[in-house]
Amino acid sequence: MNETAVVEVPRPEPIEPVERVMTWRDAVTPVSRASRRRWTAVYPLLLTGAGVAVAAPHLLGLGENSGVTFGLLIVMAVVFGMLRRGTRRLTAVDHPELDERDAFARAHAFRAAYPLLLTVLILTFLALFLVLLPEIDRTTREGPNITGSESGFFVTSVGLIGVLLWGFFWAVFLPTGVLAWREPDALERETVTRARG
Amino acid sequence: MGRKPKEEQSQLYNRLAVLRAERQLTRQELADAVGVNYQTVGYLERGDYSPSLELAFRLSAFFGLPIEAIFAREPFAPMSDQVYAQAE
Repeated sequence: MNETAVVEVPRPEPIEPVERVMTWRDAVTPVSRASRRRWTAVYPLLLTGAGVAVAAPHLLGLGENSGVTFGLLIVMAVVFGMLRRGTRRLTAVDHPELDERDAFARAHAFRAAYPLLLTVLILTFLALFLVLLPEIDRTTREGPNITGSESGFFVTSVGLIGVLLWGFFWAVFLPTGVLAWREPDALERETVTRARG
Repeated sequence: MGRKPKEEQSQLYNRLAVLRAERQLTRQELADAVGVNYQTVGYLERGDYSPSLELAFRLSAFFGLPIEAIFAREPFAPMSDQVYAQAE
Protein backbone atom coordinates (compact mmCIF):
# COMPACT_ATOMS: atom_id res chain seq x y z
CA MET A 1 0.00 0.00 0.00
CA ASN A 2 1.41 3.27 -1.02
CA GLU A 3 1.31 6.11 1.42
CA THR A 4 1.22 9.58 0.09
CA ALA A 5 2.79 12.33 2.07
CA VAL A 6 1.14 15.68 1.91
CA VAL A 7 3.60 18.49 1.95
CA GLU A 8 2.28 21.89 2.69
CA VAL A 9 3.83 24.47 0.49
CA PRO A 10 3.69 27.92 2.03
CA ARG A 11 1.68 30.28 -0.09
CA PRO A 12 3.56 33.36 -1.17
CA GLU A 13 2.64 36.56 0.52
CA PRO A 14 0.69 38.94 -1.66
CA ILE A 15 2.81 41.67 -3.07
CA GLU A 16 1.98 45.29 -2.94
CA PRO A 17 2.91 47.42 -5.92
CA VAL A 18 4.87 50.51 -5.04
CA GLU A 19 4.25 53.03 -7.74
CA ARG A 20 6.04 56.33 -7.81
CA VAL A 21 3.60 59.16 -8.39
CA MET A 22 4.71 61.67 -10.97
CA THR A 23 5.31 65.04 -9.34
CA TRP A 24 6.20 68.51 -10.51
CA ARG A 25 9.83 67.45 -10.48
CA ASP A 26 9.09 65.29 -13.50
CA ALA A 27 7.55 68.14 -15.39
CA VAL A 28 10.25 68.69 -17.93
CA THR A 29 7.83 69.74 -20.58
CA PRO A 30 7.31 68.05 -22.99
CA VAL A 31 8.37 64.82 -21.33
CA SER A 32 10.25 63.23 -24.22
CA ARG A 33 13.56 64.77 -25.18
CA ALA A 34 12.88 64.46 -28.92
CA SER A 35 9.68 66.48 -28.61
CA ARG A 36 11.36 68.98 -26.30
CA ARG A 37 14.13 69.50 -28.82
CA ARG A 38 11.64 70.20 -31.58
CA TRP A 39 9.97 72.87 -29.45
CA THR A 40 13.36 74.26 -28.45
CA ALA A 41 14.19 74.70 -32.13
CA VAL A 42 10.87 76.45 -32.75
CA TYR A 43 11.59 79.34 -30.40
CA PRO A 44 14.68 80.73 -32.22
CA LEU A 45 12.73 80.54 -35.48
CA LEU A 46 9.87 82.52 -33.96
CA LEU A 47 12.28 85.05 -32.45
CA THR A 48 14.14 85.45 -35.73
CA GLY A 49 10.82 85.83 -37.53
CA ALA A 50 9.72 88.51 -35.10
CA GLY A 51 13.04 90.29 -35.47
CA VAL A 52 12.82 90.27 -39.26
CA ALA A 53 9.16 91.35 -39.11
CA VAL A 54 10.22 94.40 -37.09
CA ALA A 55 13.49 95.28 -38.81
CA ALA A 56 12.73 94.40 -42.42
CA PRO A 57 9.06 93.52 -42.90
CA HIS A 58 9.41 93.70 -46.68
CA LEU A 59 11.58 90.57 -46.57
CA LEU A 60 8.55 88.63 -45.31
CA GLY A 61 6.17 90.42 -47.65
CA LEU A 62 4.62 92.25 -44.74
CA GLY A 63 3.52 95.84 -44.43
CA GLU A 64 4.50 97.91 -41.42
CA ASN A 65 2.38 97.40 -38.30
CA SER A 66 0.89 94.24 -39.77
CA GLY A 67 0.28 92.66 -36.38
CA VAL A 68 2.34 89.62 -37.32
CA THR A 69 5.05 90.62 -34.84
CA PHE A 70 2.53 90.76 -32.02
CA GLY A 71 1.21 87.32 -33.00
CA LEU A 72 4.73 85.90 -33.08
CA LEU A 73 5.45 87.36 -29.64
CA ILE A 74 2.34 85.68 -28.24
CA VAL A 75 3.36 82.30 -29.70
CA MET A 76 6.90 82.85 -28.41
CA ALA A 77 5.56 83.44 -24.91
CA VAL A 78 3.57 80.20 -25.06
CA VAL A 79 6.51 78.13 -26.33
CA PHE A 80 8.91 79.66 -23.83
CA GLY A 81 6.43 79.14 -20.99
CA MET A 82 6.09 75.50 -21.95
CA LEU A 83 9.86 74.95 -21.93
CA ARG A 84 10.32 77.04 -18.83
CA ARG A 85 7.74 75.04 -16.89
CA GLY A 86 10.02 72.06 -16.77
CA THR A 87 13.33 73.86 -16.37
CA ARG A 88 12.45 76.63 -13.92
CA ARG A 89 13.45 74.51 -10.94
CA LEU A 90 16.89 73.86 -12.40
CA THR A 91 17.58 77.45 -13.36
CA ALA A 92 16.48 78.75 -9.96
CA VAL A 93 19.38 80.07 -7.96
CA ASP A 94 19.88 78.15 -4.72
CA HIS A 95 16.75 76.04 -4.93
CA PRO A 96 16.68 73.92 -1.76
CA GLU A 97 15.83 70.71 -3.62
CA LEU A 98 18.63 70.85 -6.16
CA ASP A 99 21.11 68.02 -5.79
CA GLU A 100 24.51 67.55 -7.38
CA ARG A 101 23.10 66.40 -10.74
CA ASP A 102 20.75 69.38 -10.93
CA ALA A 103 23.53 71.80 -10.03
CA PHE A 104 25.75 70.20 -12.66
CA ALA A 105 23.00 70.40 -15.31
CA ARG A 106 22.41 74.06 -14.49
CA ALA A 107 26.09 74.98 -14.57
CA HIS A 108 26.48 73.14 -17.85
CA ALA A 109 23.47 74.93 -19.35
CA PHE A 110 24.76 78.38 -18.44
CA ARG A 111 28.23 77.49 -19.63
CA ALA A 112 26.86 76.37 -23.00
CA ALA A 113 24.44 79.30 -23.25
CA TYR A 114 27.18 81.91 -22.90
CA PRO A 115 29.07 81.22 -26.16
CA LEU A 116 25.74 80.80 -27.94
CA LEU A 117 24.64 84.24 -26.74
CA LEU A 118 27.97 85.72 -27.79
CA THR A 119 27.52 84.18 -31.24
CA VAL A 120 24.02 85.63 -31.58
CA LEU A 121 25.18 89.09 -30.48
CA ILE A 122 28.19 89.09 -32.80
CA LEU A 123 26.06 88.01 -35.76
CA THR A 124 23.47 90.63 -34.85
CA PHE A 125 26.02 93.43 -34.76
CA LEU A 126 27.58 92.21 -38.00
CA ALA A 127 24.18 92.22 -39.68
CA LEU A 128 23.40 95.66 -38.30
CA PHE A 129 26.70 97.06 -39.54
CA LEU A 130 26.23 95.53 -42.97
CA VAL A 131 22.82 97.17 -43.21
CA LEU A 132 23.70 100.43 -41.51
CA LEU A 133 27.18 101.12 -42.86
CA PRO A 134 25.99 102.05 -46.38
CA GLU A 135 23.39 104.36 -44.85
CA ILE A 136 25.94 105.95 -42.52
CA ASP A 137 28.35 106.38 -45.43
CA ARG A 138 25.69 107.95 -47.63
CA THR A 139 24.56 110.29 -44.85
CA THR A 140 28.13 111.33 -44.20
CA ARG A 141 28.68 112.17 -47.86
CA GLU A 142 25.34 113.74 -48.69
CA GLY A 143 24.17 114.98 -45.32
CA PRO A 144 20.89 113.97 -43.77
CA ASN A 145 17.73 114.83 -45.64
CA ILE A 146 15.65 115.81 -42.66
CA THR A 147 12.55 116.39 -44.71
CA GLY A 148 12.64 112.89 -46.17
CA SER A 149 11.26 110.17 -43.97
CA GLU A 150 13.64 107.43 -45.20
CA SER A 151 16.76 109.45 -45.93
CA GLY A 152 19.87 109.58 -43.81
CA PHE A 153 21.02 107.59 -40.84
CA PHE A 154 18.97 108.07 -37.70
CA VAL A 155 19.01 105.95 -34.59
CA THR A 156 15.52 106.01 -33.17
CA SER A 157 14.54 105.00 -29.66
CA VAL A 158 12.25 102.34 -31.11
CA GLY A 159 15.16 100.87 -33.03
CA LEU A 160 17.37 100.84 -29.94
CA ILE A 161 14.65 99.26 -27.83
CA GLY A 162 14.17 96.64 -30.54
CA VAL A 163 17.86 95.71 -30.50
CA LEU A 164 17.88 95.58 -26.71
CA LEU A 165 14.79 93.38 -26.63
CA TRP A 166 16.33 91.11 -29.25
CA GLY A 167 19.39 90.56 -27.01
CA PHE A 168 17.25 90.25 -23.90
CA PHE A 169 14.98 87.57 -25.41
CA TRP A 170 18.00 85.54 -26.49
CA ALA A 171 19.71 85.93 -23.13
CA VAL A 172 16.63 84.76 -21.25
CA PHE A 173 15.88 81.90 -23.62
CA LEU A 174 19.28 80.31 -24.15
CA PRO A 175 19.89 78.76 -20.68
CA THR A 176 16.35 77.39 -20.67
CA GLY A 177 16.74 76.21 -24.25
CA VAL A 178 20.01 74.42 -23.51
CA LEU A 179 18.49 72.71 -20.47
CA ALA A 180 15.38 71.69 -22.39
CA TRP A 181 17.61 70.37 -25.16
CA ARG A 182 19.92 68.40 -22.90
CA GLU A 183 17.85 67.07 -20.03
CA PRO A 184 17.28 63.33 -20.36
CA ASP A 185 13.91 61.77 -20.96
CA ALA A 186 11.71 61.68 -17.90
CA LEU A 187 11.84 58.49 -15.90
CA GLU A 188 9.35 55.78 -16.59
CA ARG A 189 6.84 55.06 -13.87
CA GLU A 190 8.38 52.92 -11.17
CA THR A 191 6.65 49.60 -10.59
CA VAL A 192 8.78 48.05 -7.89
CA THR A 193 6.93 45.26 -6.12
CA ARG A 194 7.59 44.50 -2.53
CA ALA A 195 6.66 41.49 -0.40
CA ARG A 196 4.23 42.48 2.32
CA GLY A 197 5.24 42.00 5.93
CA MET B 1 31.05 67.34 -9.03
CA GLY B 2 29.92 64.59 -11.34
CA ARG B 3 29.64 64.84 -15.05
CA LYS B 4 27.40 63.53 -17.73
CA PRO B 5 28.96 60.86 -19.91
CA LYS B 6 29.16 62.02 -23.51
CA GLU B 7 31.62 59.68 -25.09
CA GLU B 8 32.24 56.01 -24.95
CA GLN B 9 35.38 56.32 -22.81
CA SER B 10 33.60 58.37 -20.17
CA GLN B 11 30.80 55.85 -19.71
CA LEU B 12 30.53 54.53 -16.18
CA TYR B 13 28.56 51.33 -15.65
CA ASN B 14 26.84 50.48 -12.41
CA ARG B 15 24.79 47.87 -10.64
CA LEU B 16 22.49 50.24 -8.82
CA ALA B 17 19.29 48.87 -10.35
CA VAL B 18 20.17 45.30 -9.39
CA LEU B 19 21.26 46.24 -5.88
CA ARG B 20 18.15 48.32 -5.35
CA ALA B 21 15.91 45.51 -6.59
CA GLU B 22 17.67 43.02 -4.32
CA ARG B 23 16.93 45.18 -1.32
CA GLN B 24 13.39 45.92 -2.50
CA LEU B 25 13.92 49.63 -2.35
CA THR B 26 12.14 52.29 -4.31
CA ARG B 27 14.11 55.00 -6.01
CA GLN B 28 12.79 57.46 -3.46
CA GLU B 29 14.02 55.37 -0.54
CA LEU B 30 17.48 55.02 -2.00
CA ALA B 31 17.50 58.71 -2.90
CA ASP B 32 16.54 59.68 0.65
CA ALA B 33 19.27 57.44 2.03
CA VAL B 34 22.04 59.03 0.00
CA GLY B 35 20.66 62.56 -0.15
CA VAL B 36 19.73 63.08 -3.78
CA ASN B 37 16.51 63.43 -5.78
CA TYR B 38 14.82 60.20 -6.80
CA GLN B 39 15.17 61.30 -10.42
CA THR B 40 18.92 61.34 -9.99
CA VAL B 41 18.80 57.71 -8.86
CA GLY B 42 16.91 56.88 -12.05
CA TYR B 43 19.39 58.80 -14.20
CA LEU B 44 22.27 57.02 -12.46
CA GLU B 45 20.69 53.63 -13.12
CA ARG B 46 20.09 54.49 -16.77
CA GLY B 47 23.66 55.74 -17.19
CA ASP B 48 22.49 59.27 -18.01
CA TYR B 49 24.61 60.67 -15.22
CA SER B 50 27.90 59.67 -13.60
CA PRO B 51 28.05 60.39 -9.86
CA SER B 52 30.57 62.50 -8.05
CA LEU B 53 33.12 60.67 -5.93
CA GLU B 54 31.25 61.87 -2.85
CA LEU B 55 27.96 60.35 -4.03
CA ALA B 56 29.71 57.15 -5.11
CA PHE B 57 31.12 56.78 -1.59
CA ARG B 58 27.71 57.41 -0.05
CA LEU B 59 26.19 54.71 -2.25
CA SER B 60 29.05 52.39 -1.41
CA ALA B 61 28.53 52.93 2.30
CA PHE B 62 24.77 52.48 2.02
CA PHE B 63 25.03 49.15 0.24
CA GLY B 64 28.01 48.04 2.31
CA LEU B 65 30.01 47.23 -0.78
CA PRO B 66 33.28 48.50 -2.21
CA ILE B 67 32.88 51.11 -4.93
CA GLU B 68 34.25 48.76 -7.58
CA ALA B 69 31.41 46.34 -6.82
CA ILE B 70 28.90 49.05 -7.75
CA PHE B 71 30.67 51.05 -10.46
CA ALA B 72 32.98 49.95 -13.26
CA ARG B 73 34.50 51.27 -16.46
CA GLU B 74 33.50 48.09 -18.28
CA PRO B 75 30.02 46.54 -18.43
CA PHE B 76 29.32 44.14 -15.57
CA ALA B 77 28.85 40.45 -16.26
CA PRO B 78 25.39 39.21 -15.22
CA MET B 79 25.28 38.42 -11.52
CA SER B 80 23.92 34.95 -12.25
CA ASP B 81 27.08 34.15 -14.24
CA GLN B 82 29.25 35.21 -11.33
CA VAL B 83 27.20 33.25 -8.80
CA TYR B 84 27.36 30.06 -10.85
CA ALA B 85 31.05 30.57 -11.57
CA GLN B 86 31.73 30.72 -7.84
CA ALA B 87 29.58 27.64 -7.16
CA GLU B 88 31.50 25.50 -9.66
